[in-house]
Amino acid sequence: MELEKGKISATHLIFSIGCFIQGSTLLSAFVISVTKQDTWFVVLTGFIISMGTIGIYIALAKMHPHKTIIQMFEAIFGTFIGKIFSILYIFYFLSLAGLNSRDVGNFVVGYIMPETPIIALLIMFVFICSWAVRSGIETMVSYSFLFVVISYIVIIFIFLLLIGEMNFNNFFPAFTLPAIKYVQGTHIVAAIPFSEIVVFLMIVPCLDNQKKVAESFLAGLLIGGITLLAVIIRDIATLGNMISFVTLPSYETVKLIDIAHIITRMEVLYAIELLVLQFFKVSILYYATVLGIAQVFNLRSYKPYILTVGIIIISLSIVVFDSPMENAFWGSTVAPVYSSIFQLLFPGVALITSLIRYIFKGIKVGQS
Amino acid sequence: MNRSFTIFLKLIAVFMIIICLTGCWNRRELDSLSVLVGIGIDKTDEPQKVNVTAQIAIPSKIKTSGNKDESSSSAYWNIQYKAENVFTALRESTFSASRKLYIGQNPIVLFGEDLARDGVQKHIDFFLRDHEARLNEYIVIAKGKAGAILNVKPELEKLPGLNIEKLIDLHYATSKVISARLMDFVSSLASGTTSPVAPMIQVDGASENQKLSMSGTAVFKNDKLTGELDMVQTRGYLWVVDKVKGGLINTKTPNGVICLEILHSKSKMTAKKKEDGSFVIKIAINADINAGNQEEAYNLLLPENISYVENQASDTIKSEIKASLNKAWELKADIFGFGEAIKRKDYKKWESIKDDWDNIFPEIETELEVAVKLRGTGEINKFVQPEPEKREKNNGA
Amino acid sequence: MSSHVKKVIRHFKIQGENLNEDNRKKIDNRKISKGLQNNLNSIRRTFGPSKDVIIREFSFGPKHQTKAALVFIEGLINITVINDNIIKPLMYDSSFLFNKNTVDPSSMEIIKSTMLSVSDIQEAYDIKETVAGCLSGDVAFFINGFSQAFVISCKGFEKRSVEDPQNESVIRGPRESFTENLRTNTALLRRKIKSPALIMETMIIGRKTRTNICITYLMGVASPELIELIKRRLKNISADAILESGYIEQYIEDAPFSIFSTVGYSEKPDVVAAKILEGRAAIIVDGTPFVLTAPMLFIENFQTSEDYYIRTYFASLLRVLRFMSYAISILAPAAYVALTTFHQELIPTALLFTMIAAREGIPFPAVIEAGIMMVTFEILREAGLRLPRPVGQAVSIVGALVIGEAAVTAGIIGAPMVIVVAITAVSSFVIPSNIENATILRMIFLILAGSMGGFGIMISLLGLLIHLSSLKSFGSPYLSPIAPIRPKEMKDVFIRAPLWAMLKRPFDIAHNDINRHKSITIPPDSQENKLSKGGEST
Repeated sequence: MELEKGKISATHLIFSIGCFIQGSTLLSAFVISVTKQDTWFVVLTGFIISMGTIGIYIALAKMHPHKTIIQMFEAIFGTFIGKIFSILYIFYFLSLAGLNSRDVGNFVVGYIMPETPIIALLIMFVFICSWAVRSGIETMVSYSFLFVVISYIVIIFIFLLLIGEMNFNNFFPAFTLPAIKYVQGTHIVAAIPFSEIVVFLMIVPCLDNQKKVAESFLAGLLIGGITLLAVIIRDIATLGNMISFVTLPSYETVKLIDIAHIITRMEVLYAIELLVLQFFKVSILYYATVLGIAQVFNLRSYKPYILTVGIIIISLSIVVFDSPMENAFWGSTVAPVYSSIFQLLFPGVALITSLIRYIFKGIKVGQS
Repeated sequence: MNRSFTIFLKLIAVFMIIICLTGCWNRRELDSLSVLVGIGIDKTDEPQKVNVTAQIAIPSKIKTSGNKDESSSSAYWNIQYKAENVFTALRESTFSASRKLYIGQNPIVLFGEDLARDGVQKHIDFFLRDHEARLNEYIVIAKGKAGAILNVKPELEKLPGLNIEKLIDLHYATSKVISARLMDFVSSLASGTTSPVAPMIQVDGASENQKLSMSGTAVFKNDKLTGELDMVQTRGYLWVVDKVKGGLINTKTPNGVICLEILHSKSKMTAKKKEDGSFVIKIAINADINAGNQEEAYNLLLPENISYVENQASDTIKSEIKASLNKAWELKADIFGFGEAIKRKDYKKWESIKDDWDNIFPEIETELEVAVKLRGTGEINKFVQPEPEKREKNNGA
Repeated sequence: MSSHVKKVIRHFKIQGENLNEDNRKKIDNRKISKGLQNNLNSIRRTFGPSKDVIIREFSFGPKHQTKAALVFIEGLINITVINDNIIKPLMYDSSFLFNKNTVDPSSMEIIKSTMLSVSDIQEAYDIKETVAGCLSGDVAFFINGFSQAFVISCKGFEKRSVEDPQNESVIRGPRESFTENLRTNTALLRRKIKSPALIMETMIIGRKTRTNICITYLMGVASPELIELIKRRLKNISADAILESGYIEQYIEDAPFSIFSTVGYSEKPDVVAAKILEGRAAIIVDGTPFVLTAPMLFIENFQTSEDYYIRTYFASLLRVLRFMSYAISILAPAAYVALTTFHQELIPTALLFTMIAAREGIPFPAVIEAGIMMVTFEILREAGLRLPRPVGQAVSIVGALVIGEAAVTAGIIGAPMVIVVAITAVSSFVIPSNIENATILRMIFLILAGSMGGFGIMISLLGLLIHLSSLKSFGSPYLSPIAPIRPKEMKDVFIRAPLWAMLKRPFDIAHNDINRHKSITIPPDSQENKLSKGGEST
């Protein structure tokens, strides 16, 4: 009863993971509001910490080849508890999809079209994501390379245009904030951009060569991490003191490009890049939700549920926050803890249980 | 016609409805816009209100096809409105203006001098929050009333607002006036120790032959206008903050005044800690100059003359810088960013002194190092006059 | 009495039988009988009152006793062949044929192998085969006393000679184009690929038109699954009429509901030969000069044959130009509308003033204006195509200039809009095969841009990308090599890498036999360079 017959190659997985992490540059405001000009350092430490969580995912994937995380839970914990965990994860992916859609909506409504009711934008956006999900996982990852290349070109182009504006004195004084802020910042970075890759545990079973899981995850993490670091460095160097006042630092940075009054007003490039990357992110989360539902309830196919889940995502994203300020507050305080449960706690428990079963029962779990 | 196809058709129908019924909330046809090309904010007699002068461009009159007789019809319309703040004024102007004001293309924000003395930040806040306004708009202080500045009809340009923008753009030609974007202004406001600066503009001439001219720099304390730098002091300020991109220095030589053109300049400002814990700000300037105009024959091919000229130039620069330092100390306004330099060097020390910065700033020691190099003499290398050998022959003959 | 009635009824029935398909089937399936007249009656009944079916009865043999008949359709046959090669040898040289008067089965063999000096003879056992042969331009030769007939090929109908292609003109490259005759087309292909591996398989499709189709591919390079797939889909066609290759295309394509065509076509033999050499299969349809190629990838729209005959720098520039013009032709009106109605802050100030000045007084919103202009343009284009030649040019010029000028002067349309639509129109002609999908895409983009601005354009671009990535053409992903990324094939997409650098065939088309060359050698031959080190090449 194969729900997902698609096969993807390791290259596609790498670039999908990279594209997924790049989508989170929209959310850089969460961590910048906490650590201001030292955010670059926090990105690096967050990267290192998230290698740990990714290590857990890789270990889980290696122990249970060709199984999605939902199927893993059922194999490790048995049917009843496994289904409880699985339903919690479905809720997590659904909530992430809703939150990210809301971020897109906030961005477009706040910066581009203020008077449009956010629901109209969300309907169009989620509709496109549902169309992507409907076309299957193979199609979805096939254009990840294109997106990564486009976003790199845009980032390099904007970086070059902004060199005149950058002032590397803005990085100093460094390390003057209380230590707790760094911990909080690292936590945010590790949780929100990097460890959301847990959703790829739903997609890894489609990888045709299961031995390449580790390198795919790490390479994808690297690609995404470099982008995030470059964007943060650019923002800090350009905005300087203002970085903690603006709602969306990357966008404001791009707004400042003005070379001889000719090359100016380039923020449309950035808006396009953001929308495209977030589309990819939301469609992967959407796909994970739908696939998860189909797997938990042992359905024959996930296609009939795509529209329904889409409507739920739209409603969720409208209901969840009243305003972007709540969103920002959630992002820097509550979201890391909420995410860590699903990114660190549950997979960690699953891995440990898996190891225990492996050691004590002597049966290779992968063979069961 | 299977089921999925009918569902697809229903979806298409839903989309058509959404697209057509919505009315597209943010749609603005081009001819429903009134494009603002300048905003002037003045103080009024009523304490809580400000007088906002908005300059609206009339595009159909901008492209006059060579008909100079039409100079009476200007390509802009200045509308004035009084309200509590800029945002209210712009919105309430729709009581009289038939098109909603659009500030996405606005290049300058002009503050009247008396309003600037009361504090500017409460009016700038709108420009930071609005999504159409851009952070690289220029902020300018008007000597007198901002409305009067916006009324002066420029000769070369069609719109006064754009004219002012171009005037500010040309600051690099002399480096005696500055350009301040909103971004720079609020960056200084956010820093806590640095004082913001903005260029000043005034109206010259009688009512028939009016023209605008940039004049000096306004210095703010927090957001209140406290003083002014004249041209020389402005250039001294620009030397320190590494914003000199051109300009002229007239230096005296034994043979008349040589007008030197500044080609490039680079300055570094660092804070150094002395043994007793206080700070010294080290300012190092490297400038390249060109000889632009000689009054008499002064042979610039001789090394000693070259170094004489260079020394004269560096003395001039030092004096300009000292003039600006003195003025800044007098105004107790850290326009150069010394506080930021100290903060970068030693955060803890800065934390302890920042509250008393007003008093500490004038006591800060500075070390100046100016290195000037003459890089060329232009297309001729000597002052044109008969050559010495020929002169003797003439004398002899 | 009753027998008389039955005769009358049968008489009427026979008249009506010609129109009755079941009966015709019975007639058709009838075997050839030994009696000549029976056969000829069957033929007459099958063809009905058509007067262009000629039945020529004659006798031959030593005492001119053997009666025979030729059945052919006038206009389809080469009368010289019939006169000289069939009737003449039989009439004159058959005197010594039969020693006896009896019918001898081996005589058929003798007639076939010694007497009929024609190149292509088949034997037929059913009336149906002879009828089909006649309709194809062959002659059916019945001999009294034999239950076989010969179907002799002597096609000689009027056909167009090989001329310049009408739609795909090139500056450099061969100027032959296919014609409406299948044999000529296959011959043209054979002349391009002189390899025995070029296989031509024929099928007959269409119940009434019985069109000959030829599937051509290079054995060993084209994948067998592809050929199987094509044959299976062709066999499933149960239509009456196949008049043009477009019919076949619409029956076998992968995505009938998509606006993008997944089967390519071309008029020129060198284009089709190049595609066959890459591992594709070509379908030649009798009656049309347009040959189908399957599978087709999206980027093939941007590759013309001329790209490969000119050198790499200019060819790469042209490629980039084509991509740009495609982007302009679908996005320009939408982008213009989005910028001027939603995102005015992205337009430079001076340009904005010009646009506002141009739009003063225009009654319609920008979306409607763009829509009107686009519809007008489509009308002009279509009219220019259909009108007779002398008038056609005038209409397009009159239309463009007068209508455009007058509309702007009257203040119905703004001048920038006319410029935008004109550029769109001209760009859409850069790639003729994209006109169909570009026109529809343009309208969709315009509607979405008019309602949601830049966001709408983004959404529609993403939708386009999803749709294109999910299309497959005969098993190959439509956006290969961009979407399932194949780095080695990117040499031929946005640039055109030098010919000696393109080592491999596209993986998604030719799954086996990937290599085009043996190895890269930068011209001139690298051996030469090693020998004459440091010197100028001769």
